Amino acid sequence: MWTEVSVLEAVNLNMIESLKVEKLEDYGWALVAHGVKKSYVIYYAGDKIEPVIERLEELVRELNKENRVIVTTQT
Amino acid sequence: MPKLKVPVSLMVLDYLDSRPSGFTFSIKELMDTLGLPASVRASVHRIINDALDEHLVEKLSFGWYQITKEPKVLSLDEMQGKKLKIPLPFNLGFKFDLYPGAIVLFIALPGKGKSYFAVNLCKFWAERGFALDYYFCEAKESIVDRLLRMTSEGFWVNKDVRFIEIENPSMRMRDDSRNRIVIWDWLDLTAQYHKVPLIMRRMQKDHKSLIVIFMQGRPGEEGIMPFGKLGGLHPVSVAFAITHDEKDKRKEYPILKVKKVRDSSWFCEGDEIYLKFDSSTGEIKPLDIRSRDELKKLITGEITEEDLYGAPDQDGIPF
Repeated sequence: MWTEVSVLEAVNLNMIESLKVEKLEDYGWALVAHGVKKSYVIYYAGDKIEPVIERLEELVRELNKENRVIVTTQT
Repeated sequence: MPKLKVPVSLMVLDYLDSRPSGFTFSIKELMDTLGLPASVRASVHRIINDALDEHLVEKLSFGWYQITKEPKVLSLDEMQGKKLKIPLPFNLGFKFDLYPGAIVLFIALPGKGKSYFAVNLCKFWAERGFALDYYFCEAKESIVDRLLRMTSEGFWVNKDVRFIEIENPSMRMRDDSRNRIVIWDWLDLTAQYHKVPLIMRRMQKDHKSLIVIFMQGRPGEEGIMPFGKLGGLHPVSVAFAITHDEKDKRKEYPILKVKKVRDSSWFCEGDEIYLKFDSSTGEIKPLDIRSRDELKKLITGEITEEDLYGAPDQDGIPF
């Protein structure tokens, strides 16, 4: 079984190296956190990319606010 | 017991739908079978005339009619339905192959959280921008309360979600629901379970999106079973029973047991999906648990959720 994880928690634990929006066969457009050892599906929205981008932007804001990491977005 | 007012048209169409091709009847016989009073005779005539126009029935001599159900001829293009691009929640994504008009059924005993699942699905799709119709038959206040509890302020602004009350058990779906995801919470057909396949097929007809139906179940030898005959599941693509482990007295960890699956390379009948119910927000989330044994350990406190998610050098959550 897979599960959603709290990104803030995962970042805190140094489990995540990057966040990417990717198109996956089993989820469609998804926000994927790539970790040192594994990758995690954080959010997915099927055929639609906009909700995934929104979620990414939300996370970037949260992460910047917490000063945990310096986050930049790239298109 | 108070009687429900069911439109005559619905009763007549049910009568026609539920009888095989070639079945002959007269108006009098139809009215007697349905117990209709003479005062609605003109309406019945009108409906049968409409049915004649639509080639659902054929007129024989001396006031007799015959049901015609000519099988439709499809081209290869029409045969090849396109898979729905609607992901399922609880990390199920596209792991079930669903086609337009697909029915996903949730069965549960009373009080096992059907409506909590329904509002979670509603939020999941609304958040992702899908057009959705939520048909409800329970107190609307409790649905609104649950939806607002699990979403932040402003969440529902600009969401394409409509709420429609199920006024009677045989109520038809709105025609303009056919391009939208439909959540039917719940299909109450007490003592009329033979009608389940019929009603499901009627919902499916020309539907272009996904239909999610919640229904009460009964305890059976193989766990929770739908009421009525098992053949009732025929129109269903995926069926889940909502259940809990016997140790889970607080009902914190709902389990989705796969009762029927038509197309999936991920799941087969009998598989279980383990979830966590957050009683403060009403949200249901997937758990990183692979077996019932592991779930029992979590319930009894032998392992904690931190053990499952915590340390980075552990197995973590695979993807």
